[in-house]
Amino acid sequence: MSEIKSEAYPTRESVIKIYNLDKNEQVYLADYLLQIERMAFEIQRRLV
Amino acid sequence: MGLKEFREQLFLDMAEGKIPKRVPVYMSFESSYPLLYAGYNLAVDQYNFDLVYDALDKTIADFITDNLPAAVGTPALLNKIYGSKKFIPSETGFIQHPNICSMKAEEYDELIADPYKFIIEKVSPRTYTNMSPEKRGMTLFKAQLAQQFIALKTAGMTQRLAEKHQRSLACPMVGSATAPFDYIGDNLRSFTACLSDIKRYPAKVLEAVDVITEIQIRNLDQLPKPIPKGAKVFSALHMPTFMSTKDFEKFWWPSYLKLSNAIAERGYTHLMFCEDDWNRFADHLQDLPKGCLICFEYMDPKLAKGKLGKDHILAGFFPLNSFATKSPAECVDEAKAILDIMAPGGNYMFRTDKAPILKSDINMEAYRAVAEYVMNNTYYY
Repeated sequence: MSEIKSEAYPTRESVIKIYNLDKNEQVYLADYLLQIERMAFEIQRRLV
Repeated sequence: MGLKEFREQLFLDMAEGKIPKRVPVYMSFESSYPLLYAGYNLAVDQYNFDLVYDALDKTIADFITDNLPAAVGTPALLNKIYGSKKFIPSETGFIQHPNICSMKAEEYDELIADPYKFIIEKVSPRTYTNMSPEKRGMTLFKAQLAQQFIALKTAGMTQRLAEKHQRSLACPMVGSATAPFDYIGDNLRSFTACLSDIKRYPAKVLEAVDVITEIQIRNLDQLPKPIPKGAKVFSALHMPTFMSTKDFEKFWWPSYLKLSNAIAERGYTHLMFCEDDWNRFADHLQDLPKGCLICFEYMDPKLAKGKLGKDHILAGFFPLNSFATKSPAECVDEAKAILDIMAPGGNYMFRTDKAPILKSDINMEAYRAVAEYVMNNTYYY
């Protein structure tokens, strides 16, 4: 499980890349998306 | 009765077909306006719920209205999660609506045969990059999380603004419905292609309009219940003024009338914004179910009042542009002229012809002079 976490746990950088966020979107939107991606990750992890 | 309750009563009376105490001032902002008015950077700050709240708070304090002219929210988060190609922010932060085509001309038969399947399997992945069959399960899951996240972040904000500034929240907008032909232009074939389709494949377009109408009517049954008093279902009307009257009567109007009747039969007020100049459609609008709330952009006030003012609540007519280009006294004179036509007998809400987008759209001194004039000089009893 820790391996999965270290490989896929969402980071600010990964969110910016996945959603192709421009410099304006990186200021606030990136943080919101990061929180959602992490929630989704945690729920998925518990379901595995 | 407090000021908020007084204001709510104006709208509730009108929803019940009564003459209100006075003409209400019923305004809406585009989401950019409060941020720019309050001095924020639209491109960056529109994504922050707390800053949007602060911008609204500052703007509403200066901008007298009877209703709450905007609610807190930003669809940007969901647009990003879906990977929307329909709503794209420009560098300055204004959301652009590209004229995209998500359905091929030769696919009408597929749409008609099974519209839900076609929209989910073919249209959604072309409109939203994250709605492909492989991605859509996770995308919908994230979208649901995002909706909960937004609800938590914005909980109570709208009510707080309404309480603080004593604005009415009566007769809430509980949903929207798209005119069936507009749905084809907005979501399937694009504005431009749907207009050539009515010449090339008229029978297919008519069949497509029929299936979309059924979907739009079925969607009404998903709206929350119980229905609040005076609850509104909103339609922004896009295509008619780009069509000949003959084409409008054949392709656009019958399905829209059916949808409007379905909205009224379910106990909602059908709120519609007739974009552009609707003078040539005034007779058609007379057939709408009684009690619609019709907002106009460039309609002749006398024509509207004469043909529609008895059966429907009308709003709009005051040119937003006047607030940017004319003196306060000239604006008040212009408002008086509109009120002289529209106010007698009730059924009129004062409103600009379009919502402000930029700070420069409104000289606040002129706006305040007009709003105060309406609020102080239009008492019926």
